[in-house]
Amino acid sequence: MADIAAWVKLVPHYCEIDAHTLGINAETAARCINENTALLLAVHPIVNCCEIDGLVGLAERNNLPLLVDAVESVYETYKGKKIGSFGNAECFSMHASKLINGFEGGYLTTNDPDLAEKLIKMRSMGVLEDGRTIPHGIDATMNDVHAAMALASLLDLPAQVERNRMRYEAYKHMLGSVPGINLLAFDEREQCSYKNIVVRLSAEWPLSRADTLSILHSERVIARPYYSPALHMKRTTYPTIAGDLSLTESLAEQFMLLPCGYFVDDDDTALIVSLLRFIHDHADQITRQLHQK
Amino acid sequence: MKRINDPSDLAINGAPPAFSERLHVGRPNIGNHEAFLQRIAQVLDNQWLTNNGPMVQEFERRIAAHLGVKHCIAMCNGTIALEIAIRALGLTGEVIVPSWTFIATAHALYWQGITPVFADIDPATHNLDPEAVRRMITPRTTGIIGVHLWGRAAPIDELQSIAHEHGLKLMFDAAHAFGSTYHGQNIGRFGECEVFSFHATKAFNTMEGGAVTTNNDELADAMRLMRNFGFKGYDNVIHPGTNGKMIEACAAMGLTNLDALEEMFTATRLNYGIYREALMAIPGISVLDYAPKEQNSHHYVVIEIDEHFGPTRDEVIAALHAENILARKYFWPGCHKMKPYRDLFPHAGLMLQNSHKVSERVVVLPAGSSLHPDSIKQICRVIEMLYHGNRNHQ
Repeated sequence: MADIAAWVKLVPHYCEIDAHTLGINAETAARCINENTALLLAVHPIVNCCEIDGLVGLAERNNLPLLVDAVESVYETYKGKKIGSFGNAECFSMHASKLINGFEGGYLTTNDPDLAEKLIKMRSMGVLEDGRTIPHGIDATMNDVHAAMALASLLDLPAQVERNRMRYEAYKHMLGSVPGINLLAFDEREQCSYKNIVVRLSAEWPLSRADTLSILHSERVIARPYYSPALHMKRTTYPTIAGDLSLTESLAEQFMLLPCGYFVDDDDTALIVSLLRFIHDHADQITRQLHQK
Repeated sequence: MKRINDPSDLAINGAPPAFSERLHVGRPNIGNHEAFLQRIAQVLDNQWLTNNGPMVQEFERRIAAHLGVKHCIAMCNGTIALEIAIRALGLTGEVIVPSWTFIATAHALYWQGITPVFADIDPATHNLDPEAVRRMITPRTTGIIGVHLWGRAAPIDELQSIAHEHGLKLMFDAAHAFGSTYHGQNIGRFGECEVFSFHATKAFNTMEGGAVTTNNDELADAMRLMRNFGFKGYDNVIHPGTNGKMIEACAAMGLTNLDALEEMFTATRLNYGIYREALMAIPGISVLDYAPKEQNSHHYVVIEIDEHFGPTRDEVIAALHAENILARKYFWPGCHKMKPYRDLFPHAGLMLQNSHKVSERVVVLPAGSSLHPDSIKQICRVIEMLYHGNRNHQ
């Protein structure tokens, strides 16, 4: 995300997150606004949504555009209102790993007709039908094979969400008996995709996350650190602004994204959870062996 | 098909159009449908849809072997491929490009914060004039992007000399030039790198897509990282990047079309020949030539209309459109007259007189391997009648 800002010659100014939602909020974003701020680029976390109504108010008060990266919030709602309808525009991905899969691809949603018209012109090189041009054209048209795949994926969406819910319920049920691992719960007052299975390793968990991931990977369970390292910790070839992001840094060490999606069935879930339980129950021995290596 | 024996048979004079369906420039060349669908089934069976899958890897290997170049890095489209190549080469400041080209060449630079500086063309070849390139070099110039327009190679040797002399990086926009040669060697092997578009309108297509080809190992590594957000391994980002990946379905189309390349180019060559024979005798019309000693896809049928023809170029386009023949001006009025460049260089036209003249004369006619020879003959009859109609009127 920071690369994209830099790609168009903007300077990414990283913002602290909210410990409850794991996303940006109006208070953390307000601290970063200054006379050079051009845009608020909010990201919904991969489980539930950030406090988007607060950000809409902040953007309005400061006369700043608000663009939302809603890649992991497809199908979801915030206070009963569909994600896709907030801010000036919301941005979605149709990568093969996403809820609506179009091989690759993406789309923007907006209620602003002028912005929509401008985006439609820009995506075709900015060349209008009469040969005139508008600035900032680029080739971003989606081709028909992406659309065909995404349409097929849309047909399957309700069934897919139901499969996700069953998988989430299975993880929730089984992980309940593993000490030190807390599943991030979907807010079921809202419409949820139940797509991502994210766990937090609490103080009770006896191993570091790095060691835990290393053991899982050696068993071919490709769990991932949930946003680690945080973007501001990465070396870049372009200028960035960070400041105090201690909460982000602390939280970036605590979460794991567990395998999920179409190919993970109940047996896989049971195996993954039993592996985690085994790691917990044999932590001392495993740690000794790991560090001997 | 209607008979065209008299000016009154033309649609601009009230007759029905020559074609019931619209004929487009850049009709797609498509290989064997069954083979394509089999590959798509294989993609679904592989359960690997994107992120450098087996189909993309095979496609890259085959393109590199076909062109005789070390690396082919497949991308989601030609414009992103241009942007990534420009960034990987470290171009900054000003880069010299022709104005008489598709706007993507200039846009790719502009999105990277680089100023495209437009150099004039040789009116005989439609490609960059090396002397014009020399005139546009300033202390801020870091590179030259030559364009092989209509698949005819840019003056590669001369541009390479200039680049060498001034310490500039030379790359090529080869969007039109898949299947072309320069001094008998395949386009794709010249300069620091060459950038192809495989858009559906191109001679060789992957539905949408592009690639950069290069013999430079380091440059290839950088571009492979940049097209996938700079990721090296699972969570290790070591380069600024974007999403420029080609998907498996597009590679499947590419492989299918690669199998049918000879057949498709034979058809486009024959179609070009039919056009040329019918049009070359009409006064005021010249048909763009392809050097017989070089290979070319013959995908573009480009004519120039001068004052001896009678009706102006724009009148010809209007008359053809009335017949449902959607001929195009292509690149008119030149990048330097399009936004935002016309505001950057309001007087650029003074140095771009050949580009301007050519942009006022060119018409690109419908072509492609799927166009039937009878349709081509009918298009030529319309053009011929436009000439005779004007003579009779005078």
